[in-house]
Amino acid sequence: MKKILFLLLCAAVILAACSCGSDKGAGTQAPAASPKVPADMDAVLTSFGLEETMLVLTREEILFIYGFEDADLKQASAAIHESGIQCDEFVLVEAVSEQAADRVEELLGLRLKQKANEMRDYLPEQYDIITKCSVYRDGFYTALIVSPQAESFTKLFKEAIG
Amino acid sequence: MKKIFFCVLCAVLICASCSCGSDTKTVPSVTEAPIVTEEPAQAPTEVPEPEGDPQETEVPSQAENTGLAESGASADASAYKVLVDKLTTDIPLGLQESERVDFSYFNDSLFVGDSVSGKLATYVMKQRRTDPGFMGTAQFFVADSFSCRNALKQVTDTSKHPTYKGKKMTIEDAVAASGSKKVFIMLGMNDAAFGIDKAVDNMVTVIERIRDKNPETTIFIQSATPRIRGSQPTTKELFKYDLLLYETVKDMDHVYFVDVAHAMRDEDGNLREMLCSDLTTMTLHLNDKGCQVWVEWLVRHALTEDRG
Repeated sequence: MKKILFLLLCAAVILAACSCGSDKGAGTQAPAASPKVPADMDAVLTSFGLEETMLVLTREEILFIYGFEDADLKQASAAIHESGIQCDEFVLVEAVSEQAADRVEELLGLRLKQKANEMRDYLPEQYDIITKCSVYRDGFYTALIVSPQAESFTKLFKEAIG
Repeated sequence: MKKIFFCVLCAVLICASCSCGSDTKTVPSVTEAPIVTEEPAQAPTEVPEPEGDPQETEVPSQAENTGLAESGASADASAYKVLVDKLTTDIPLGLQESERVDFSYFNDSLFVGDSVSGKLATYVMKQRRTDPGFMGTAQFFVADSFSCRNALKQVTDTSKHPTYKGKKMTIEDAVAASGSKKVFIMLGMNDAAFGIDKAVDNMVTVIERIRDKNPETTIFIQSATPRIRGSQPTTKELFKYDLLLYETVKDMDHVYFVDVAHAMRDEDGNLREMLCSDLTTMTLHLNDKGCQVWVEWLVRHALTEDRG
């Protein structure tokens, strides 16, 4: 368990160090040393210089935007791009049961379709990114990862939840 | 332990947004985004504005007059001049400057729009981190590339309707579902390129559908904001759209025009560069400063009496 944690932290540092910033000013260079990972998502974003491009959602906003039932979620974390036209979005959910996870998965699937609908014939580059992404489900865990690096992070998510 | 896991995962995932790699391998998917071929929409483009005006539309003659008949509402514009060279009017259309209202004015309100309003939505969410009462309890029903044209279509798996609490629906249904007493609509950027007359007709239909389902709701039509350059639509087309839109809705019951665009134009009628977030691409989306100007306009051009 500790080994996996350590590896993930290293991955986070490495990824931050080789990131070269988006045209939306996604961030400055990540700190060279491994950052302390606090429980506060805002602090995490700040430590990677992403506080100006990705907006971390509150639980209330998560429930409103995705249509989840509060009782279905054991824990949830999400962030969207502030611009309104960049498709980057991360939603990580641990549901309370298999049935709840089914509902979460369905809603995230709808969310992904909606994003594709919006960008189709509008912003082809964003549409292209979205169509290469998917909703990942493993037991009670579900993730929607929309990003040019979706594959890498879905893999990490899969490894983390075993 | 699980909490730490989650936080670490969040850290890993969030830092992806600062990477710009071009690795686009296909992910083995469980639920993939659909690739649908449908009628192409006319997205606002980066193409330089063509010479001539392919969408010449006659602006109602009243718009060129220096005087209009009194509408009976002290809050509304009774006369304005079209400043043709500046692509603006001497005074804002619709609601004139009022006393500054409290953010509670926006309680039980719904903002409807496209990607321009999408930015406003995230701006408001951000402001509420430090000011929970920012814009009252206003909610947002927005989608990129949304338009009146799309709004009037049936809701389907591939339609461009926004979602309300995760569920895709029509504007009138979203108003009902949210229980909103006020609706602020800004649509047109993705309509005007198809013809200004038709765009305004569609807006009227949208209003009528909202009214049919929500007879007590007050509707605020916001002028479509300008852009710095580009076509489909051009700034000139957007201005013509705004003029025709105002003239068409100004006498509709419980419908008010809020000329947000008036605050955003530079001396040539284009979007002020300091308010724009995509200066090198579409040149029409707003940054935080643009949203600040927008909100400030709304609180200073409020409905202070109902003209019924």
